[in-house]
Amino acid sequence: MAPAASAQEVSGEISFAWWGAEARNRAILEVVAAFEEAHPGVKVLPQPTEFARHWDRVTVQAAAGQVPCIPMMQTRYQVRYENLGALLPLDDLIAEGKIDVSTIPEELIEGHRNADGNLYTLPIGLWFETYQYNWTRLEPTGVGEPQNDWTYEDYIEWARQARTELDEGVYPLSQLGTSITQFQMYAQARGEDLFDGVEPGFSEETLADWFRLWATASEERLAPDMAMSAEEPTATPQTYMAQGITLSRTGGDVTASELQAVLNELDGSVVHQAKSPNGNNPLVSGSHTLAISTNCANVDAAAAFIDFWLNDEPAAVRLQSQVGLVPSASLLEAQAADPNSPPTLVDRIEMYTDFADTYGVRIDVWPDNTQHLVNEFRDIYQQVGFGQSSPEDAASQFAEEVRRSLALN
Amino acid sequence: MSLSGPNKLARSAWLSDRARESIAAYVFLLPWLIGFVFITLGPILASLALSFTNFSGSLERMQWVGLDNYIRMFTSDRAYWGSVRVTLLYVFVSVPIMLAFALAVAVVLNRGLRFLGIYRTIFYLPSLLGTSVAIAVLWRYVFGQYGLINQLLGLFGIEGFSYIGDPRSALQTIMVLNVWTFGAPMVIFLAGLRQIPAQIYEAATLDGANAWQRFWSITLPSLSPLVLFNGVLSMIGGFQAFTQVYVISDGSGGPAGSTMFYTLLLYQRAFTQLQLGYASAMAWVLLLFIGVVTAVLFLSAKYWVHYGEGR
Repeated sequence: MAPAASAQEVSGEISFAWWGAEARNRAILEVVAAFEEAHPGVKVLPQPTEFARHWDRVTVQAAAGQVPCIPMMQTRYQVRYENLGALLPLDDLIAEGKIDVSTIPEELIEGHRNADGNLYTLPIGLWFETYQYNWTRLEPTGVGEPQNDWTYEDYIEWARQARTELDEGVYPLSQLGTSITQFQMYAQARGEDLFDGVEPGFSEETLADWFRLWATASEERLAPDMAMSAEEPTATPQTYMAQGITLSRTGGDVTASELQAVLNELDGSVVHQAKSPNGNNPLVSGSHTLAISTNCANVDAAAAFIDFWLNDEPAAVRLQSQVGLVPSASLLEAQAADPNSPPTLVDRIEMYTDFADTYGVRIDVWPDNTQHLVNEFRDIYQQVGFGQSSPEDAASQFAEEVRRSLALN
Repeated sequence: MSLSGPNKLARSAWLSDRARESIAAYVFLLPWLIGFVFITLGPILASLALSFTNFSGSLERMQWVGLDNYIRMFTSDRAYWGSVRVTLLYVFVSVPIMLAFALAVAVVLNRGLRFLGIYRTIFYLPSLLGTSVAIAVLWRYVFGQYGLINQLLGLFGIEGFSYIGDPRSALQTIMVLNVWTFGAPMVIFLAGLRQIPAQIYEAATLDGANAWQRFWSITLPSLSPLVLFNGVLSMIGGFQAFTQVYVISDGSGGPAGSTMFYTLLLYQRAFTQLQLGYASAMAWVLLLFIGVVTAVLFLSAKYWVHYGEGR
């Protein structure tokens, strides 16, 4: 194998676009600075923004053939840009040794391969869905901690018990009826899934049950009502759990650290996490990935940049998994052993390892033309929540939308 | 240096003064013309062509689809007619209210108040700020569940609700924001009011006309050209409204599609779903619709707009 890119002479400018909040931006900029120090001839032009704007921007850039040299991608969204021809296949760069992936498990790499046989992205941070709850406020209620093999029916029962012990205006659950990701967990617990080839992977009955479950949760004041939920900010530091309005929420494990940072400032509450409620099914995991755009004029420097992210131990430690858990087992160990790593990060690493051993891991890559279903799902559930549609009609409507979307592929 | 002798003769033989002036004018216009052709006209025509394709960002994969985008828009896009309904409601409710409010305030300010300049500035300010992201963010905090309005209501023991989170009130909240930006038409109305001769009012008063009769028979007809002008501009602005609803609904058009403006749906189809050909078709339908409504307004003008004697 040829020497890795980190050992090669590279120079010139490369643009790098990602999304994130303040803590992640700070950590990423530190890694960028470390890369520039290791490769003095390369200047990285950072283009940070927040999640939704990142995709809007990359979409426009893709249409114009001006995607930044290295766009951060995510497993749920990347297929669109791969199929569009906006990203460069990385297989040759790996074969030439410009990107060293030898420390990353092969099944993880293969999980990112496109149906056309090419590998367009490489994971730099894994995240997994968790159920997050405020243990400091939950403990005095005496209802106990959620368990890793729970389903959403178990959470509703748990919330009913917790509700009676909480102050007025505090809800045990967040309103999750609008979340397609959590519906995916619910469907998996019933042996179904979101997609099954060109058809929905769930039954309309399962979806209608999901809508009813959360309509009931609102009625019983276990979760905020639809109007409150509709105006809940999406950024983790402003969510209702961060404001103390709800006791729990769901999200990627990486957001738990952000949440903990906010609660540290607010009242010092401690956040605990359980596996997302899909029963005994494998942990649903996604990844933040790096790609090289087809319009990138400095591919060698871009390859060196990706290689640096995948293999540089000091950079990985400095990053503290702000983009997710590093995919290399040795770097993950180095992060866990680092005395500067915060306890929440060490917990996440242990949790991931434990869940992966117990339940297995499934990298969740969505088919093309399905990304907008996140918003469609939210809108359709809102119609149920506001009494504009019955659960059955809404379920039928959404299943039809899934079929229509998948038919475009 | 002046030209003389053979040079002067040669120049005269080639170009007349008028032609030289025309050339000079076009040379000065050239930067604008280049900009217009390549930055405005070119993309407009390109979007028309794209509206008949399935363009999704890749020219290699682009295919001609004829009228498919237009047919899909009218027959099978689940959100399309909802966005049309929301946009029409917004335009045809909030624009007349805004104009009426602007005219009423202008009439009050025209009564010779002291500190008129200060009032005019205060009322005009929202027009400058109203479509900004900052004000839209502020709107979220004012009309939210825990917003300023509900805190004030709470002082009187009244429990409010989330005005922007409830589909029964979300659109109205955005309409209020639009009405709040009445300053620009108000300034124009105020300028128009100052042009109406005082003698006409005096004569009407001597003839026994009361305040309402004077307003209805003198003020309103005299201002009708400005009503048309403000109406057309505000209506076009209303159809193109985007920033406020994008920020207030967090880009979702929610809750339950209640603030899904046409422009927001167009944006989602283009930049969230990458259906750029389809979004181009949507843009052209919007353009044509605005053109038709504007034409109707102008055609109706002969029945209600008074341009004075001789018109």
